[in-house]
Amino acid sequence: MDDFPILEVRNLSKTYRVRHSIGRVETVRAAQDVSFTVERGRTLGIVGESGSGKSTVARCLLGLTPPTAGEVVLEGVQLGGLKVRQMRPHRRLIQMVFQMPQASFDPTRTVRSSVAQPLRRLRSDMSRAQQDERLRHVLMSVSLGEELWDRKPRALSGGQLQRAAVARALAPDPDLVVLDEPTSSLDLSVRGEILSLLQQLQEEFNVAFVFISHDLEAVRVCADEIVVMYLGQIVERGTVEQVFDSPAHPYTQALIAASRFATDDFALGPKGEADPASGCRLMPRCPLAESVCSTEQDLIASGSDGRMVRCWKAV
Amino acid sequence: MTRASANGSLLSLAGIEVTIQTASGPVHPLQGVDLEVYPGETVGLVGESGSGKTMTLRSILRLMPPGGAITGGAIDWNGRQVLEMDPGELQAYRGADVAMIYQNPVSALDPMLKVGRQIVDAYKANRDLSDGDPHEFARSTLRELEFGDPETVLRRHPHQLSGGMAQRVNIALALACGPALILADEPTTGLDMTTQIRVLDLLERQVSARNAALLFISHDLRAVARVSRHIGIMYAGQVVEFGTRQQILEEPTHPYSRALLECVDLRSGDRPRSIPGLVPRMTDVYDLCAFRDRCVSRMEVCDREPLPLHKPDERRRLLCHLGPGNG
Repeated sequence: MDDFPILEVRNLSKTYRVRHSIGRVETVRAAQDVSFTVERGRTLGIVGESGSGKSTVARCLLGLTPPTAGEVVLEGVQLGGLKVRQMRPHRRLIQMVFQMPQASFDPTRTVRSSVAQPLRRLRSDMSRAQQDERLRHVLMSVSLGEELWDRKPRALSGGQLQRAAVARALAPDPDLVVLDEPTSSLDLSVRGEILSLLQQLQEEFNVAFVFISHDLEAVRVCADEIVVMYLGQIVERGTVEQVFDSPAHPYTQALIAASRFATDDFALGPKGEADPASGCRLMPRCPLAESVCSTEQDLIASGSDGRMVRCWKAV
Repeated sequence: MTRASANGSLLSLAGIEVTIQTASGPVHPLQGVDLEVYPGETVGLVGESGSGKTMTLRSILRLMPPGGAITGGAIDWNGRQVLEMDPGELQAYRGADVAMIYQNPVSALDPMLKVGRQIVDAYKANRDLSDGDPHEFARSTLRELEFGDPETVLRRHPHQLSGGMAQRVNIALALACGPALILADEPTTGLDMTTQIRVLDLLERQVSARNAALLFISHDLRAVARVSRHIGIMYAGQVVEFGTRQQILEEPTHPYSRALLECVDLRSGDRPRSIPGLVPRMTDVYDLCAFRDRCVSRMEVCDREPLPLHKPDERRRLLCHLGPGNG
């Protein structure tokens, strides 16, 4: 349809200032020089451990927090400079599914009423009847039993509620949905169900996903491209096949080994008390580290296949 | 010191039932749990939320939630009946015989006390004076748990610890009690993957170095498989299958065990697997198989007859109308 990507993130950085005590202020670089693009109807996976900056990036994408530097370009429009009112028409285009379905629903409203809310707020161009029709359509699409629509969230299981959350995100007809750990709080027996549902909905609604998770297997199933983050930086970026079949960065290798509970293959050292502020952030934990690693590492192409890696050893 | 029970097991649960009275009526989270743990071995229990894993651990320590009571069955600890212990015996049994590691490592610690004080207190409360210097124990145990600078950690308060550090402190606390059995309730669930495995390995190493037994529960079969020699699968308040790690992972027999294994490995089929249907409500007591509504192997007998217990070998247990030969 269009030849430009739906979402383009250019050199996004987010710095928080944390006040510990009087006069002692620490600067936390939660995201540093993060760049990626998401194509229409495709899925980008973002993986990393806690503190890697995954959620910070998500918050910046949705405009929930302003980036310190860099740009978020959605459908060709740069979101950074927009005022709240100017942002409103773009809100419809990007929606979110949160990690804990129980916490992301108003306990006093029925499921139907919660799912209807983004429609009522963001689709004033539709008549009430059209909105109701759309509401039915999305609730049917996620296969949520009709008998549950007028129940309160507490009457639904985690899996059912996460289906409702997906319906709510799709209701205003977005081009992009950010999924923040959508299966992490669910039992393994329903994880697969939500993942297949997402794949099926992606085709039906032609929507792009940013899939944030520490569950590498889930990301592998859903994503086309993957960004691996460590301490606010992208350390590896490539297609699912490139990253999973031949991980180039030591951190990616360790994550994949850990996700298979096979750390005998490749193990990192313990998490440090203080992380380095320059050079390779992984250096204190990396079994392959050499003195050269303390110089600043850039994200560079690891070959001719488009994959990017932040490790001189992997190139 | 160790009096063995009739079959040599350290801990044996037989037909444990728990009922909790709530405002909306009684709930039955455990409906006949059978489980045995032998000295020095690691046993893992896997199940989904609501399957009764945590309640099983709590019943072993007789720590019931408000309105909850153990309404049936027997718990045998080294030949002693846990359900008949008086408060004094129970207090001595908790900690010194059986210690527990909780799911949320930070909230399991006292926020007001320094780490060192908590470990020393646990040591003094559960050990004889002749067992050695509690401070030296705290230092050496933290060092074994891979803290580079134990002295600094001992002077810290819980909020100054990361999740992985806090859970290692909890392991030290459990070890300080000198128990013969450690219960671990999803000890690594909130931790990062790379940290999770390290903590699991440390836990297993420390437990086996002290010849203690470990009963480990998790919803994550991969974590359980990493540390446990025997694995039990829980569903609707019962252990529906029990066997060695190899038996459960390579030749699971119960249809639920098989379905759960398929869900873990997302690449096993052409699309991600799930188990259709819902976990049964525990407001009901199940006379027949509670899994039969979701079961792919449901037979006519499942709707008619109570579950038979199969014991194909000394330790293996199977609660299913499908016999052990149908694996």
